Amino acid sequence: MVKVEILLFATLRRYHPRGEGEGSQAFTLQLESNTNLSQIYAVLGIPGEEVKMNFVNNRHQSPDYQVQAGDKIALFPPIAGG
Amino acid sequence: MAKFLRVNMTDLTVDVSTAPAKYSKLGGRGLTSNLISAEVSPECHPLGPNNKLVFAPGIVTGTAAPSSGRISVGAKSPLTGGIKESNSGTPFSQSLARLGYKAIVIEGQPENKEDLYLLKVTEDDAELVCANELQGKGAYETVTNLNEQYERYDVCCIGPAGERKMTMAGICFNDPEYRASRYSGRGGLGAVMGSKGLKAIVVEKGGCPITPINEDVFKEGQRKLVEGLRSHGVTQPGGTLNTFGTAALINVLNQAGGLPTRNFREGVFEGAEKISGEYMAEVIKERGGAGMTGHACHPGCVIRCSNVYPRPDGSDHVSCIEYESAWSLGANLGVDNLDHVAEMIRICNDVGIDTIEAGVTLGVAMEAGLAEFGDGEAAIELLREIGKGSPLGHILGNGAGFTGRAFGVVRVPVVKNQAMPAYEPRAVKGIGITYITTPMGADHTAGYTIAPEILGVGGQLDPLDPRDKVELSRAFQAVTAFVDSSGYCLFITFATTDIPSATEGMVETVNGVLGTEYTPDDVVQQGLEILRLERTFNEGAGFTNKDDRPPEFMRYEKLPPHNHVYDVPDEELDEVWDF
Ligand code: SF4
Repeated sequence: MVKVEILLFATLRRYHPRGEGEGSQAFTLQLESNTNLSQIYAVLGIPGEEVKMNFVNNRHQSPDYQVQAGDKIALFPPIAGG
Repeated sequence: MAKFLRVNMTDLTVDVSTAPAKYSKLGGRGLTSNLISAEVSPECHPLGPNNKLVFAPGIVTGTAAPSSGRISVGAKSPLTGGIKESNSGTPFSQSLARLGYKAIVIEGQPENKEDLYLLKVTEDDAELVCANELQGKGAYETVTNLNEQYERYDVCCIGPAGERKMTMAGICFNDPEYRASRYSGRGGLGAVMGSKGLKAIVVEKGGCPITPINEDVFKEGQRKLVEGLRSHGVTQPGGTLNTFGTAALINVLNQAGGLPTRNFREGVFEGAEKISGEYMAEVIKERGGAGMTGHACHPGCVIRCSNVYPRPDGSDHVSCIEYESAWSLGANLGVDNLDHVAEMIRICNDVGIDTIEAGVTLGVAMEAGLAEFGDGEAAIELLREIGKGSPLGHILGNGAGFTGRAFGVVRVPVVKNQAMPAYEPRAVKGIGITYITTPMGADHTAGYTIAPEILGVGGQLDPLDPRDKVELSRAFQAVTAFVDSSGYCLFITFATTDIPSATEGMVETVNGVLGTEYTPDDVVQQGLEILRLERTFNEGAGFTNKDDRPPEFMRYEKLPPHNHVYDVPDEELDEVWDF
């Protein structure tokens, strides 16, 4: 099992396990050691097409990235600006 | 027929005439840069009588095309010493276009440097009126006064910083509710307006919507573009721009390790959440009152990324908190109090200064020990000095480069003396190429490679990889030069980059208005021609490849958390201009 920390942003905050009111708070998940990011979406009930950007420890990763113990994961919907 | 309004501030005369045929297919940046290149000596003093200030709506501005109420303001910049186009979204531009004006050209300089004037523009005529009673007035009071005095006119003005010819002074336009909030902020063009003794311009509302030469082509293009904007996750109603504003980027760049923090010392800010778009939207909802997200800077924008931020009692504090300002006056100063940030944006809007240059200047001032990083109240006090016009205010008001020299600071994040925006080049290598090579001085909007490097729009590249970013930056710079000419907001490109039919739609609306048959490829060529013209002007002003370089500290100081220096080699930077 591996333990990871997760942050959700923008419209994804409604999928926070403790409810949208806690949306900005980090939470931890205990996962099987070969879990990838898209499996985390499923655990949280996030439809895959709603996630546009995954950052793990400040680096971009694709949905098939396999999580490691202690990873800090940030999930974003499509966002842009200037 | 499209008209030119020439205003001679030396003899205080105005002339309305048919626009020269050679400019008939141009608008926005294409027009301002062509006109400045043709009529202004690159060697002139930017604040002297030989500089010209040009206002030009875009090609499709004034039509029913979505998100197209943009204006370009051009001149030789007193901040960079090179050519400048600074862009804003405002009903002023739509009114100017609908009265049939392709451009207003302000020339010369009054003999009596004390006098201030207002330019009143109607459909067939224009007149200069004494505006000495507005001397020293902030932009808020100026816009409110002029709105009372000239009902059904849109307003453009400068604040005290422009009157004092400070190089961070911008040019202010009204939003649809007559807030002094929409800025052509960059490059010190407010100082050029001040140097001409012009405090304000009012333009009569009304006029006729522009009739496209080829109505069917225009309508088909409009339909495709609107469809694209309404279906893309970023630009659609209820999408992230509409719901959270551009400040939703604060958390994104923070997670990417590319949010410049405490004067570009770090790439992650521990207080990011408190200045983010998500937090801002929550505060707006909680406080209610005048607060709103989904605000439009001009009627007809379907994206509506702007906002009104309320005070705790619900009254209107400022419009708007955008990413650049939340960063420059927040993370860049180590400030995590959004009410302090809002107050600083309000001061900038009122004094009439660019929020990016102002924030970066305060960061340099903090580096110099004038205040502690993180102290929002001290930052507010420093900013007020600019409005007061104190000796310190004059140093700060002349920007980050000037302030760095005044206080012996080495870590000064500028290119061509213009402050860097909210993306750390050491963490996002392509945007650095844009900052360094654009003729505008450090400017993210000149070629927004952040789209593929960070946001996954138009592909997904590794932001830390310095390789193969030259062509990317050049391509973005070319498309941008055209979009800035079209009158469209640059934010339509998030949809057009991903949706080919939306790009076709954009080009078709331009073809409809002009009666041309441009293809998307032609548009890129046109953008390249504009870039070449701007580059040539800068060469005439004395710029060489040696000016296309990052600030030296970025070559040897590693930026946490990725601990990269800026590692795109000089030779590659020079290749941007091999076309
Ligand atoms: S997207 Fe935002 S900046 Fe662009 S035109 Fe609309 S409101 Fe203005």
